[in-house]
Amino acid sequence: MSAHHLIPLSAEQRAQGYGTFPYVILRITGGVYMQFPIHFYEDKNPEKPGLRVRVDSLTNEKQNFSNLFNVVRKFHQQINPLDAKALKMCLVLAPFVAYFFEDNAFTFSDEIPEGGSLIDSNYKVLALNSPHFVID
Amino acid sequence: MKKQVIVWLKNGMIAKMNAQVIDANTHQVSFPSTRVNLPLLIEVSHKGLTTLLDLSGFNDCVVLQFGEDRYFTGATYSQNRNTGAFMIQSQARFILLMALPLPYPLEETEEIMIKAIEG
Repeated sequence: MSAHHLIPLSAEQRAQGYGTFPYVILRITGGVYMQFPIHFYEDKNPEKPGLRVRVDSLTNEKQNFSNLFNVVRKFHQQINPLDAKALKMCLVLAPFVAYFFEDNAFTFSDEIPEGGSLIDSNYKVLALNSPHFVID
Repeated sequence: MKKQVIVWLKNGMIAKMNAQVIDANTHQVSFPSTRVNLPLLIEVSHKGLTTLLDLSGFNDCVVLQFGEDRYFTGATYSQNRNTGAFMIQSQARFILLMALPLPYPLEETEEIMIKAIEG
């Protein structure tokens, strides 16, 4: 693939939380992925797109990920009601750590979703044929 | 060799993974290299009370420990060791090393189930 077909995440999108671990990926259809950034916060709810996880202390990473699990689980139930066609959802924690959610289970994968068309929840394109994350 | 490992949680959910398996037939387990992929399952086959795991230089991970009945007995975090030796001693018969961060509350861990991978 030639370089001009790649559109990476912009600095503006990164400032909104896109491309930063952890995040949730929803597979809309083949090659089209919707990303939801995850924001941990203590007091003030950050007015940024994505999922927000309230925690007691931002420094208590282990406890924060416990809270994250419940938020992601509820989100999965919300987007996959019983009578609807299930959308595949993936919690991406690191470049080689992802968990795919099903009804009552989540499956570890050391390969995370990448490439394709990455969009936000408003169906606006974030990136094309690029990694879904950026490491500074 | 790999096996399918299923971790049952108290809330009824399960975490599934295909894990590389190491047989601990002596009291001390050293990993062949730092390139062992996670998750890693250690099945203790020796008859001794404890097993010494040498995690020096190993990837950051959480060490989940399960008894003979396969119920969860405890956990240890192994993080941020760039230099020096790091070992843990365990009475567990099944030890599962999982990548960090763990995607669920550690205290929700209940039981482990191990299955051969078909095909």
